[in-house]
Amino acid sequence: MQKVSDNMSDSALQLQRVNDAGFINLRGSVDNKDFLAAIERVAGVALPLEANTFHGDVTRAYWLGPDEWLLQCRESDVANLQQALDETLRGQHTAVNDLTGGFVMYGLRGPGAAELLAAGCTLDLHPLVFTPGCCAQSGLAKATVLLARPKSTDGFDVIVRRSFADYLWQWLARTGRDARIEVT
Amino acid sequence: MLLIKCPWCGERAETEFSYGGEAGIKRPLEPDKLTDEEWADYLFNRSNPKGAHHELWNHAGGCRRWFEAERDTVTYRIAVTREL
Ligand SMILES: [Zn+2]
Repeated sequence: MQKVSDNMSDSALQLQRVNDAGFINLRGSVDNKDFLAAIERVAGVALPLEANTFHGDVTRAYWLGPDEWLLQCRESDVANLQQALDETLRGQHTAVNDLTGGFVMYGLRGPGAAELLAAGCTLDLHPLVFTPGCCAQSGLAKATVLLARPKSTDGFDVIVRRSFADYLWQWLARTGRDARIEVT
Repeated sequence: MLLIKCPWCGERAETEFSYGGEAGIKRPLEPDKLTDEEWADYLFNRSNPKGAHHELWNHAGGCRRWFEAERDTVTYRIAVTREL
């Protein structure tokens, strides 16, 4: 956690980097039932077939496209998971790629999170529209991000390409300050 | 802000999309047998209508899928979008 404001009251928003998240990109056909079953068995989470939703909590599967998903797990589990997926899916028309080095994940917690994101994102983030379990790839400020509303906590997770991560952090902190949202 | 309906993601801001030109242009099966005029026609010549236009769009800032749209080049109204 990084302290941004010197004048902290009851924080409306906590911004933190999630340091132990690993990511695996997965491609395959939803018509291939063996593929779907194998992922659920090996990763412990079923692939979401509904667009712009995700399944799971610690280990997650985000919908990225009709034949593409992002698996998130603990960074220390990535190598084992990839190996297990490779072995299970051998010979099938699928792709499993470790993208852990390419992404950074931020957690935004607290009531100010939606308001802050709305300053740089065109998505409707109202809790009745973007409900827990929803995710979406979209633009935030000038970065392309994957936004998700977790089921277990109030707020949002933002997954961003590493090259944009520092920029986005600074944008979040500054925009929060300008909007008088306490960012801690 | 124009809203464009991605067949997968639903309505999203225009800024998430990129235009991919006229849809339905088929690459000739036997390019060797084409005259220069026919090859140039395939490469460069497009219908460029004033009115309904059959187009390719990519949801570049979202799910990154290509899809088809029927767009009116005068009003910019998009009548329908569909999966490829
Ligand atoms: Zn889309």
